[in-house]
Amino acid sequence: MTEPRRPSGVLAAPLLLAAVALAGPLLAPYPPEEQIDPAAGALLPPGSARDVALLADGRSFLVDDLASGDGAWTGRRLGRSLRLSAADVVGIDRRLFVLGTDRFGRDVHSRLLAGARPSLAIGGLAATLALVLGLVAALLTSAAGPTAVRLTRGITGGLLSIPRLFLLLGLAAALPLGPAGLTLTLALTSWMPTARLVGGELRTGERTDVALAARAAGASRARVVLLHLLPAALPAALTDAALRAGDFILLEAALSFLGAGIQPPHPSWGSMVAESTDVLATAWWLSLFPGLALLAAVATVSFWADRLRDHLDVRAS
Amino acid sequence: MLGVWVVLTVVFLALQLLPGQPTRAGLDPKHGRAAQREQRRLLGLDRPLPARYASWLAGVARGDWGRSWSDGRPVRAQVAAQIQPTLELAVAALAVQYAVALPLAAAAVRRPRGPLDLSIRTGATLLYAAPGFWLGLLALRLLGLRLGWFPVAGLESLQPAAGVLAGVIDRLHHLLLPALLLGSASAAGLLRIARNQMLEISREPFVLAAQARGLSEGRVLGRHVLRRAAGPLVQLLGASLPWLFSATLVTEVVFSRPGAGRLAFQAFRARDQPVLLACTAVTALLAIFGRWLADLLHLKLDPRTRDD
Repeated sequence: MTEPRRPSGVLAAPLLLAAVALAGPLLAPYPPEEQIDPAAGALLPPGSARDVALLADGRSFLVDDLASGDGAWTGRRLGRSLRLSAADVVGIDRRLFVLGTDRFGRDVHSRLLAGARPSLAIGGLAATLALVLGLVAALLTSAAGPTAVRLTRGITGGLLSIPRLFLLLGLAAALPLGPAGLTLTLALTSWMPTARLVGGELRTGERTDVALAARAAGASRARVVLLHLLPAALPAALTDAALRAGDFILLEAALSFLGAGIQPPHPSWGSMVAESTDVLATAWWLSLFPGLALLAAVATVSFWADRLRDHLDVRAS
Repeated sequence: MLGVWVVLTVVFLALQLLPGQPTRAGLDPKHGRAAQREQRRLLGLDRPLPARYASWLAGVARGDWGRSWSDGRPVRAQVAAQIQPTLELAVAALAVQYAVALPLAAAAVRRPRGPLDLSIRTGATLLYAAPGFWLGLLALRLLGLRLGWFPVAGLESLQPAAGVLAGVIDRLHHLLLPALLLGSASAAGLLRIARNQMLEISREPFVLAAQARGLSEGRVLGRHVLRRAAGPLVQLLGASLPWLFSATLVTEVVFSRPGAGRLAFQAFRARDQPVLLACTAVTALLAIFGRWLADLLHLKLDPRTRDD
């Protein structure tokens, strides 16, 4: 037996991802939906830097090598030299597109950071909600008696055989889902495995000496389930939920990729990959970075889930 | 049977009970209220829900899935034409999945927690964590567009191939890349489970006895460990089918490959409820049927479970 790790280490990964989801949008260097001069600013490769000339009439230009001299600003734009009279220019700014720009000239770096919140929060909250729903369903049916348990197993078995992505597309077609609706829908279509797992644990627990003794002492069915059987089933339920938490992030990403999740112009990692498909052959940075972000987030969750299982010492099933 | 009924009912209700504007399909928003009412009447949406449910269920029992809202064609013919390509992809992906996962799992359990085991498990976790649509796009870009090794869309080439054999090869060529990607992506989950299972079995006394008899490592693995693991793995295959169909949908969309998933995606974009309903219900029924087959096979492989 290795020495049990301190719980702080076990919470590190979810706290890290929660911090990224909370802080990501605040760390974005530029507004994620900002489009300065889409004609000259679209599909700039990573590391491009441009000066921004703000004109009195409200237009703005992205300019290379902006310099001032004898009452005018000069520079290059779209491969041609550009000359702006100093009287027209009301402001000068600079943009560094660390991860390049998309088809509309928006900064990929800023969109990636802003997209962290929907991409991580929806999956994380839905996973938690599904765990709670599954626990509640298992407790209710277990307290209601064996007939309810059998019926619930039949129903959850049927529900589990519906491919989730098909069902979610159908739901999204019937009503456009916002972030909250998306979270709720993901949870409502994913609580069944937890319910079945916990239901099974509760059923096995009912035959243990602890449960029988409590029943013999006059405790009600509900009391035994809640006070004796649920605590014993929790580690398995938590581990199982953690192992499947990555699924929720990937499912949200797939939905957004298909256009049924977070709607443009708001960024999410899945929809950012979707927007890259038209320019797949040329603009590699558009699909690469959001995909890597998803990969990193889900891998973090998975490695954490493995550690959690070791920590709670749940036998793999 | 309960499962089939639950699937049909839930799918129907999920798509009907929600608020929303199903009548938007095929109707210009500038038309007035009267036109919208007429549209609802034509689609039968003015009838109460139980009546619609009963007639839909009765239709499905007769094999009549209604008509598409976008083009008025019978849904049944549209969906039926897409089942074969989807099954082709799913079966090919399953073959790849088991061909990738089982040898790697067997290699990993030779030295549990050794360097090979750790790197295989880390690789599996990274593969699981990579979004399928993203991997598909990267592969399309590199192997399809850049190197030109694989076709980038469709079931077969536009020009008909000369001869039956050339036709089959052409179809397989179109199938290969999607199946490889889908299969290796699904291999990640199977690998994790198969490894843990083989590890558990390899610690049982009968394996030690086989080793003590001096049987070769390969023989112990093939005749004893794999044989014991086969039943649960087959059962797992049956249970993973709904997930596989979801992943097939994404793969078909990424690779512009006709199939039930891509049809559902197009129906989603067109808000074509009857087609979407049929695609969802048919894939769910296929998953139920597949699980039933897998359970039968499990009984055959593992006689101990027959009493259950």
